[in-house]
Amino acid sequence: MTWTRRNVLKGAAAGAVWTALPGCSDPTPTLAPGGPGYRPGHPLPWRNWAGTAWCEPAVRAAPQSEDEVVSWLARAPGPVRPVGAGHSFSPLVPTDGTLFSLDGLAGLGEVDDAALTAWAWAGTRLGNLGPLLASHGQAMPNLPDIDYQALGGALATSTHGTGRRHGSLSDPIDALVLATPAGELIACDREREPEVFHAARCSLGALGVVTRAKLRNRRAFRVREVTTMRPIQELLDEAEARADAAPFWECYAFPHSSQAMEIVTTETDAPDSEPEDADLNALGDMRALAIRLVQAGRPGAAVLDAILGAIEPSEKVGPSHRVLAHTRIERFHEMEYTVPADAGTACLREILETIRVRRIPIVFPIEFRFVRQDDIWLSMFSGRDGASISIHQFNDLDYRPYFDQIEPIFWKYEGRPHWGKLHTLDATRLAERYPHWQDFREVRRALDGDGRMRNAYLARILGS
Amino acid sequence: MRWLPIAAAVCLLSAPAARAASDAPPLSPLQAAQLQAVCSRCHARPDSGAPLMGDGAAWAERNAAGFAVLLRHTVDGWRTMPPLGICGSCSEADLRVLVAIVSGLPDPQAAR
Repeated sequence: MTWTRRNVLKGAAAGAVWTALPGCSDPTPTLAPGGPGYRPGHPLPWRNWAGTAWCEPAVRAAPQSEDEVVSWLARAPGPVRPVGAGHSFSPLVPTDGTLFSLDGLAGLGEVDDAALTAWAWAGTRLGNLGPLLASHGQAMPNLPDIDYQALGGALATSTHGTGRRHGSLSDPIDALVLATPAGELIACDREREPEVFHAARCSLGALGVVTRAKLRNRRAFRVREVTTMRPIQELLDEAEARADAAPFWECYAFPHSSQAMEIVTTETDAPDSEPEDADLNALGDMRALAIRLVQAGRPGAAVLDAILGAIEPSEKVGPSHRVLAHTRIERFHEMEYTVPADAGTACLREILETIRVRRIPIVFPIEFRFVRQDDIWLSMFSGRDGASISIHQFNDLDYRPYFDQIEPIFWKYEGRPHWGKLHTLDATRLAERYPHWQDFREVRRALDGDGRMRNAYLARILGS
Repeated sequence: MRWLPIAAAVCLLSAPAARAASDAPPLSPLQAAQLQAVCSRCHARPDSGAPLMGDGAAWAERNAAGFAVLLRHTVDGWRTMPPLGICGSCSEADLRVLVAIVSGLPDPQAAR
């Protein structure tokens, strides 16, 4: 999403009169970060990026070699929970046992220039992986919206970008190495230990610790990202065709508005664009005004449309790793479900209509992306092409009043929750959404029968 | 060998940050990795919105609050700064070294 302060404020000025309306304040309850904060002299707490998950681990393990990973796993007190960047909103990480980080295992291993593959250590942050691969003339086929995550965490949650021709990051993986809770190293691919391979490409960190993965890349490429405001109904009518026409396509629908932001990214040989005039705080700056406009009902929506319509098209050109991922400094809470691709626009329309009819005071745009199916047992895209729909709330506001009203709509469309984002499903309800659920459970039982990797959240979503 | 690019990246930090680093304890290999892979993702990127390493003007007001406040904000998160700076491997000792380097404000505990 590319905003410019100039554009937003130009539009906002037109609606400034609404900020003077009496009795218009944001009614959403605030939400303080959870858990204990820093207390000098006490063990260091851990908290995720959004502040929704926290713990006080007894041990912090930071091995710096595969041998050290094995050694740590054999003796670490449980629950042993791998942590990457901590960007997951769901409580995958919290443990009072061992917090297990692979920050010390980062960078590239063996690179095959002819086959366009590269082994990467799981602790590598995605943002650092792009330049490393580019130095070998390679690039990952796709990237998520942000690139703070560690590779291991991204694979464990089937983190994805957008594009009907692209699977999640877990898809273009040819092989991986898994360190088991028993302290063994298993090298697996489609021929060797195929069951472990199908389970470990998206494992939620429930099978052990993936130490490295062989990435199936492509030649380095350049892209042009064009961002344009469009009428939402028109955009949704044409969504599948527009997504077919571009390798990377997504949109952000603005609640209580008729506007959406379309982002079309295509390959190009053009030179880098000038550094963008993006205002990273634009959404936050606009928040108070937008809330007031939403509360003002239909007249407010018209003003909101005028403000959003004033945002001019923008363009960004550069290497894929610098354009596909974006800088996001506004912290938030997020729920995302992936519904069957052909049901995506209907689901989004129902969400927008629900927000409008119930006058839910939300201004955060809703992200809509397409992702190609894969054969990974617990991937959200397992066996079916998906449309991923993400709803957000500002980090200091209570997300539950909003998310609780939208989540049943996702269920109605057979949605599967993103493993790293907020949802309320348990093992019984998740099992019916995944054809290979039992297969995954059997691999898990074989590798972690004692439940050393299991924390409270995994017990809820995977069962004991 | 994996540390070579990390060490090179650390050497490329701006001069003021390097001066701050010279006052801090020597970096362990893990801390060098944390600085390069985590801290630098924002504090060495002009487009991130974060105060940059070596930018004394950007840090002056923040540093005036004292090292203890900087450390608390780093652990708990503060405004757009995420908790622990998204460093899952960081111990308190690591954070003290890294905060001193990034902010240019020496850790008073390290001087004792």
